[in-house]
Amino acid sequence: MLRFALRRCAGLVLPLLLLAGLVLAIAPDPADAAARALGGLPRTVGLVVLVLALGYGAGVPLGLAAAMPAGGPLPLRLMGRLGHGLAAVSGGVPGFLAVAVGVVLAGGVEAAPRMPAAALLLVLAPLAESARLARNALAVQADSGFLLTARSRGLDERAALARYARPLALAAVLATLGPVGTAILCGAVAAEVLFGLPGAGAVLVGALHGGDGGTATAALSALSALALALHVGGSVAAAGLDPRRRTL
Amino acid sequence: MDGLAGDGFGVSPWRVAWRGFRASRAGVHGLGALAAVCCGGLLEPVLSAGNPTPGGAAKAAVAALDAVAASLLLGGSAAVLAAVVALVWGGGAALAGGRAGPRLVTLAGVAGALPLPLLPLMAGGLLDPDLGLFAVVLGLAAAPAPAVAAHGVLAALLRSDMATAADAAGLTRGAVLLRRVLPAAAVPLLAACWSALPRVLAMEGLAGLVHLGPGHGPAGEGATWGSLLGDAVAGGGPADLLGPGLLLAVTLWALGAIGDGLAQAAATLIPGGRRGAP
Repeated sequence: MLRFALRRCAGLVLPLLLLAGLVLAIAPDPADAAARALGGLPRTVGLVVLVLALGYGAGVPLGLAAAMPAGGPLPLRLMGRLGHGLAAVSGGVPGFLAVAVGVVLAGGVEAAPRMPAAALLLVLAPLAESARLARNALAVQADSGFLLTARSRGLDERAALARYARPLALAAVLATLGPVGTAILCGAVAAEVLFGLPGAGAVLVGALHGGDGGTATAALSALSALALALHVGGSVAAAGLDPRRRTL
Repeated sequence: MDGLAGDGFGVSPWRVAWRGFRASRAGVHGLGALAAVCCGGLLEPVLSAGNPTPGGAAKAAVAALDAVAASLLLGGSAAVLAAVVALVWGGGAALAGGRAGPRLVTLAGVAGALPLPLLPLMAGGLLDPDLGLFAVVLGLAAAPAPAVAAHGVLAALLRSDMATAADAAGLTRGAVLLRRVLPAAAVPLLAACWSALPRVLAMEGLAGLVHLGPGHGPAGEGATWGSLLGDAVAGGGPADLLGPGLLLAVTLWALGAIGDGLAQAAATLIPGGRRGAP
């Protein structure tokens, strides 16, 4: 497992070096551009990680409940229905659109508390997407031969799914941390601009409006490094739950 | 029966795929929603002619319907470019094999891991592109993920029993590809490339929202949903946002649902293909 994680992290070195080289080649003052981009990165990282944690923390249990067989206790049935509802609207509310609606409905940026409002608006997309992914991942596992074996040995369907299929479905969902995180990152750029948060996304858009290509490239490189780190984190977390993924 | 040329009983793969698509409730609903959006765009001249000086929400709704054609044309052309690039990239990787194939796929995977939706923002800020160039940037930014999917489809079909049997029967590599693999791969490849369309529309929306996309011309000339969103957030009210926001949300949802339906249709054609939840 450690070797797999190290190999994945080592795979980041070349892209990161290329991004750094891009900044050195384009920015007239690379140190200043990098300082401005990296200065805003912690806030962007905080926002993205918070949104990912909230979205996956709530969406995955709801999606897994939606894929469970009918019946069971009332709270689980309600969770399942909510999961189905969220999965059905997945893809229709990208993060940037939710942020735009929130800003306009609040009557402008000044009217809303900035960071919590941005996080709450951005969380809608990963909440629905993670519910859909979890529901589909568990539904795919439900056809597996090992579940048939488990049921033939006397385990009821719900218990067999929970014990044997859920870890694999969770691994499949965790493997999507990268693409979903990248989508949140793009929503975070819009949120930082519209809420006036001084993150790397706001630095990127501000530099683009000012025609400062060097700072914009540095900010894009910083955001790209964050996206790559999310991809590696997702694949390592998935491999932790499903050892078959360590060979990929 | 390997299931790749229809259902093995003389039924064409397209008919089998359509049956599979219709089994997806979300896909059928998505198709209906997309048709409704397109009809709304077609009816816009009639609506604006009946009420030449609308105000408030009606004016915003008419402007959003007016932008349907521009948004969908821009998105459609960029998505077609993305699909072509993805097919060349993914297909090239599947056909190349050896060391080059996996490297091409790895390159697409790494490119897909980058925040490519920010690329149109860079183009909008630094190049000040016209619509054509912007569509090219959108298409290139949306291509890597479908390229990986297209490679998966083609590589699986090239390894299938059908291709092996055709190879053993003495068909050349080109004949196997043209006569066997490509007809069977059409629907799965369509499903693989379909994701480019919602992706480019979302990218255009993001770029327009931060005023780095096209359509910010004088008097709303050539306005797209993204540019209308940007204008609504900059100075308008909820009524200005309602039209473009709702149309973009419905279109993105519909395209995603159609994509799910296509994936289900493709799963009925590929041996061992797994269907997701309905």
